[in-house]
Amino acid sequence: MADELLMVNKPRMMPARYWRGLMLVALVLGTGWINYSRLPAGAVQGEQARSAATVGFLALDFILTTTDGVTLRLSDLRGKPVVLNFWATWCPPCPTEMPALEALWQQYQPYGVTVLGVDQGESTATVERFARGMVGTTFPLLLDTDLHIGSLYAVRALPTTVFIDREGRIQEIRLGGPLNLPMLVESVEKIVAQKAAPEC
Amino acid sequence: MWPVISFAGLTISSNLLAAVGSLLVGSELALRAITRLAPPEKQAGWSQAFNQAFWSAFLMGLAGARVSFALRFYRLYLDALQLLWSPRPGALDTGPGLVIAVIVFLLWVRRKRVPLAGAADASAVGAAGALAVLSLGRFATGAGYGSPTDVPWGVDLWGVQRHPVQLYEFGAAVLVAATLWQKLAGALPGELFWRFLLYASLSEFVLAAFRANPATWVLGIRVSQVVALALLLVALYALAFFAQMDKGAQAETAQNVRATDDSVASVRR
Repeated sequence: MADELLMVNKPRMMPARYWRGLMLVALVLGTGWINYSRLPAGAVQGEQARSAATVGFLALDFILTTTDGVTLRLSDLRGKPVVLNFWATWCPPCPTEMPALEALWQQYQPYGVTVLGVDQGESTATVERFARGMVGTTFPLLLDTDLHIGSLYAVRALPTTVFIDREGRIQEIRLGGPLNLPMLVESVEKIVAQKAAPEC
Repeated sequence: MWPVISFAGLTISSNLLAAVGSLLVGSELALRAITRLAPPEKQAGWSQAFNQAFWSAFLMGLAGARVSFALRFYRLYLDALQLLWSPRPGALDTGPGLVIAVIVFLLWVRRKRVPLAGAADASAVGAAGALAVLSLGRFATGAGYGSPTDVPWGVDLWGVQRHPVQLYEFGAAVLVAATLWQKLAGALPGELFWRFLLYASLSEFVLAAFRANPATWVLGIRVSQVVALALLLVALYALAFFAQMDKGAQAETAQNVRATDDSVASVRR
């Protein structure tokens, strides 16, 4: 009867030696697969040289004019961490996070950080009246009047904040808001990887 | 890419949607699994205790993640305490939050006398379901994108045809969830947890090769593959241990029956 019971109640799992054998197979095949799927140096460099509006890629270059009439090219800021904030006066969270962006600008300007507000589709007068007059910002405000840069960066919600490191590579994109100062500081600390001494 | 989804005048981040979806799918699957794992007389009790443990762990983990983030920037928060209530997911420390959630979950199931092995097995089934939903979210946002390819099913992302690696991950996670679900009946306590670790690490180990721009060590070795291989070996070792236990239990049963056979025979004689 005992033997019959053993026949009926077979062990529920494969025997231990099966799993130990698999360990050996996994180790051998695994090492081979790791070696086979190593990333060639060229592939890393190829990916890193691409520009795209996403994390890990070089930020797409653009030329825009500030509300003061100064022309600014993003690639000219290479070597400095950049915070790119896409916003508009009609977007409810945008004015709420503006003071935090201004505080960030004041706090991190000595470390070379540049904060750029990119207004989406509004006139100089509207932007100036709102940002300079009502909110009291002092960081550069760019005018993306035809929304071309917004679409280039695939901005689908306002505000959208892009954090670009010294190499010009996008390290983080924060969709929506309002962001507060601690959240901005956390992201900026990532792009200020090696904090230079204050210039002042 | 769909980093945000707009409908009915609302714009919602795909990441947030995937996080909520994975939470709901994961908790539902885990709850159904614990009900099937429990003995009939304890089904209601285990199910209720597991549900409470899960949501308590989630809420405490969330609070822990928030407080941990605030502590890192305590000077800024001291100036404006109202910022602590910000609901933005970006202001969370996931690592400490996860640790707190696991501790709360373990304490809760222990307090309610739900066997740890059963809770771990049910969680494994839930985790597989949650991973599937998260993969879809990553596909929507383009996070963890694939390497360039010319396969016919490649997707165009940032001007390059790429492996839809997040969809591969989705398929693998669904397969893992289905396999674990099928093994719910008849598995040894704790076995499903180790099987989940085995299948999930195997999936990561294989699919990581199709991901672009990964973290690498010397000679271009992908970090995630090495970690996945280590976890895979741990899971196999644990399963070998389970098999040994199972064989021992079977042998013991047979020995007991043999002893009973002998005594019955001697009485008959």
